[in-house]
Amino acid sequence: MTWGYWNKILRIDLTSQRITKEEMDEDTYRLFVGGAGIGAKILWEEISSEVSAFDADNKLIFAGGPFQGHPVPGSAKFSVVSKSPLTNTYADSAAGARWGPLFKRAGYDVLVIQGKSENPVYIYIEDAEVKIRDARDVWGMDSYQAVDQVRKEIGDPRASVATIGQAGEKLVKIACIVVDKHSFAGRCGLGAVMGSKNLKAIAVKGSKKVPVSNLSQLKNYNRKYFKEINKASIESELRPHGTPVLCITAEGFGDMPIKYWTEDTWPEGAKKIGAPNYTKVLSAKPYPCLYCSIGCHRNIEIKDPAKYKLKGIGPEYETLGMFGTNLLIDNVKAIAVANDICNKSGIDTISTGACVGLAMECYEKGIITKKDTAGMELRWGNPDVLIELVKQIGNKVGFGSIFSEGTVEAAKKLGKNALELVVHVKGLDFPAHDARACWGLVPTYGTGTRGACHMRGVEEDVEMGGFYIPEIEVTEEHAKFFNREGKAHLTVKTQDYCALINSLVLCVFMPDGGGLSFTSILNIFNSITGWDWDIQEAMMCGERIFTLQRLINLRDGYTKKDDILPPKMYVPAKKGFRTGKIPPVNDLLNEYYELRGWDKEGRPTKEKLEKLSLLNFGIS
Amino acid sequence: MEVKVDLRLLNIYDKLAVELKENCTVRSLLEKLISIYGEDLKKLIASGKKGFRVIVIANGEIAKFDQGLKDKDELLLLLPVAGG
Repeated sequence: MTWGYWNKILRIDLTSQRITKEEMDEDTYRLFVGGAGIGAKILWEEISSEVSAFDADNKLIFAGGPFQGHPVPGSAKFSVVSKSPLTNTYADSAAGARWGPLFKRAGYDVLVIQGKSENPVYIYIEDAEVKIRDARDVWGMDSYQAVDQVRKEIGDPRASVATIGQAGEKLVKIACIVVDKHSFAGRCGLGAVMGSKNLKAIAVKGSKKVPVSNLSQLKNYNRKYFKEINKASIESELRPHGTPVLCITAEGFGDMPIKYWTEDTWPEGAKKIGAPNYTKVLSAKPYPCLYCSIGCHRNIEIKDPAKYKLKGIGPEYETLGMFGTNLLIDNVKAIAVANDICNKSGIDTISTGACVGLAMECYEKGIITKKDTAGMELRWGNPDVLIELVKQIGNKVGFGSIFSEGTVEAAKKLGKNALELVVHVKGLDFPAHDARACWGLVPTYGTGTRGACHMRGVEEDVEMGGFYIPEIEVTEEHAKFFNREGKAHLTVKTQDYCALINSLVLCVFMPDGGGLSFTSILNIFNSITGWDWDIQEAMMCGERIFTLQRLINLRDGYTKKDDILPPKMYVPAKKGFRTGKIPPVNDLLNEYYELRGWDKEGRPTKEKLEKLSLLNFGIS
Repeated sequence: MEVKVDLRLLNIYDKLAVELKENCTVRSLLEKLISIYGEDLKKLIASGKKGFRVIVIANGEIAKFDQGLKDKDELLLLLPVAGG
């Protein structure tokens, strides 16, 4: 037995309806920890490059790590790993709420779903009992209805349910997985992979206690850090205002997308959609995941006007960026309504905002006309257009259905120069952070193993927010704006750090916003596992996981040319903080490859793989 | 001398011209702003090892707290925030 783990994989084959329980050895946990790391290892070993995302042979891996099952602050998370329909390679996406801890307490570390059911089903896991149930009555429901219906059928309103909405059923490639009507595994279209297997939902209940090495020490750490994180998050304004607190600052730095990355500043818009206006207008309050003392999610209520009446989850910073400044929309109530529609139909708000931005830009440039949109005028700043388009995209109807395969495929269909307008890496749309503002994001987006992602490197928070990790030399020295020096270093360190965090699986806001130090994270880890890891060993593990994900990208056909940024990132700003500045993309990437110990084509060398103990995994 | 200040600090969102003595620094400007806006601004920005938790952009460049100011400087004040 390994402290902090069950050494157990639950495998469900939906084609044969066979359910098996397999052992996993301690060495695997020591090499890949859990979550995104274990998922990458399984993906590498079990999914060849020939398998496409919607093939029955693709697998959907739900994985926790050593932290799940205990009241560790920020541990109510799990990772979903699969081959993405959007990027056709490795993808992981994490969600919170309560699913991760309850699944772990059911007695498993990892759930592997393979095959394809003949009819719609959902899975119900209650400790040792695992059932595949008919979901024909749930199929067609939105994600919120599905959570309620599944809970009703299993007779427990406290069961945690991960589900898809109509978008996942219809294989919309930006479909997400919705957890407890509260949190979302949003990126890379993994909800569509779930839909391709005719799997509507996975409900979990767990009652077991996960064995740990030093329980009294763990309890002391949990109490101490819970209070410290709460205090830090109040000081950093993350608890009072949630992620909308970022808007004004991000816009001030030229980090927020304006008019689908073609303009530079819009302070009036950022002020109207961000905190504190957001908090006031939407009556927003913290809505924490289990074991969280920050509560970055927001519960909101809109009473008027009647057409925007809403009570539920409010939009995050990313959604405000992609639906707000990105589209020149400053009506935060309308944005909240569009966000709610996405949550229910189950689509990623970042990629959805990119789809609408691309549509509006194509309309402005005459690439599409009213003839294409059934008479709809896709004007910038029009909230009604946003609301109508998100309905169409999520339900794959009307003009919006052109985006069911994402922005890149839509642009190919739209023709002319539409493809040049898309802002993505490896098929994944940029989140609401501009790499021209925070240059550390250049290699982070470029080499991001799931495509352009700010949560797999967090440089923007190092540069804009003073999030430093002194244990790994991520300091103020490396965070100077528009200075190439130190940026590749910053990316390497924070990518490896984030790979570890996503494998533990820990919410990154515990350190980034909550002030939890790397040393404190390892204190928790060591008290659970009894392994006595130091920073160096932990970072080596993070690098191993990141490198394995990169190897999957390379095996799936990606090369150095896919590490570059889209054309808009080479256009300097005409006003604002980043006026005249263009990041030196090639120089940053070359320095990054060198620091990584990769060759000039961006491939890890044999020596590097040997150092990371990856040669043993059949990689050469 | 006079500097122009653009404050974008949550509830304190304002633009104003501030009269300062010659050879003033960013730090003395921040102290003057606290005397103008009172406890609300103090609670928001007066903390941390360096005495202040605020980002100051002077004429488009990040400024240090001990940096000198000159007449007609334009300053933008932002709150450092993480967690996007």
